[in-house]
Amino acid sequence: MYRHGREAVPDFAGPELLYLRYMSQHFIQGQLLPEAIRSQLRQSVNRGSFSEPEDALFSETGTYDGLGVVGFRVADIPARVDQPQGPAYVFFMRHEPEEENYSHSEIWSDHQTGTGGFRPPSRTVSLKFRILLCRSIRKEQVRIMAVR
Amino acid sequence: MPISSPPIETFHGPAAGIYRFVSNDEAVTSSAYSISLQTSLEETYKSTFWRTKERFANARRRLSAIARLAHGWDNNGSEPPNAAARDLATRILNLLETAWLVPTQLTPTVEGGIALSFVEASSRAVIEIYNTGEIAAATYSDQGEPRVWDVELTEVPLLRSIEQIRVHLAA
Repeated sequence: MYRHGREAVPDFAGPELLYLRYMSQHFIQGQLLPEAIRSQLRQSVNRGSFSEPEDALFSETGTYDGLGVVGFRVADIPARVDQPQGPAYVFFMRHEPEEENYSHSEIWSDHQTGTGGFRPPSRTVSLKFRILLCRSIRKEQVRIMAVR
Repeated sequence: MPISSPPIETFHGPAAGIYRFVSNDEAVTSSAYSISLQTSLEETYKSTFWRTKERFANARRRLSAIARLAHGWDNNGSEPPNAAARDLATRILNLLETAWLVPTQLTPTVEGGIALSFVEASSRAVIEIYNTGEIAAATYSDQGEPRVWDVELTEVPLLRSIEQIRVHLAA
């Protein structure tokens, strides 16, 4: 889990798993709710290539005890979301290692034209993005069941 | 002019009253009636009307509980829903109750705000109320493109959105 000086690995393959923490109140009738995911800020996940589901709950102070973990594929992230008025947004993965969590990564968004940075999507694009992603996160994707 | 009044000691009770002869009326006291009455009351409180009322009461209790959330309530630095979002949620809950459409879940969102979620088999909908005072709504299913729209804060667009959600869930 620790970085130990390792460099970031920018490439993400479609089948690679990503692990996301969730609270029990955000998982209803077999599917994650869109309100469990953030996109105005960059959503943190752990890369499956460098971690196990349990690592997403690791904290020396027990901060994440009782939360659950779901696993979904990089390919499940909608690559682009259009809106009737305004620019389309693209969504992509960024590996952002932390000293105590090498696998730490973030879901970024940008205008379709590509500014090279993070651009928070509009409210409607954000909601549509989160709904599309949540459709891929069902009870079969639960790796650790949330109990709080 | 002096007024004559009787001494207090003479008041022993009402001068007149209605008295009922009490007997063992089996229509009222029998165990058969008691069971029938209990069943009837249970059926009444299991009715759609009372269950719906109870679910709205639960949603309002959740909204009150949400008011006590602190910064980082999700252990990931999220802001709790602010007073503006809570007031809007109260207003929308009142409109939903008038429209008789119960949310399946009322939760704080990790983006800062409150979400009212609706689930009916594979049909789902959500109204998201943000701390900024904005509102967005969506209807979606397992397949097809989700329908997402911004909701204005006046009553007519809110009622129109509620109706769109009702139609989607019933389809």
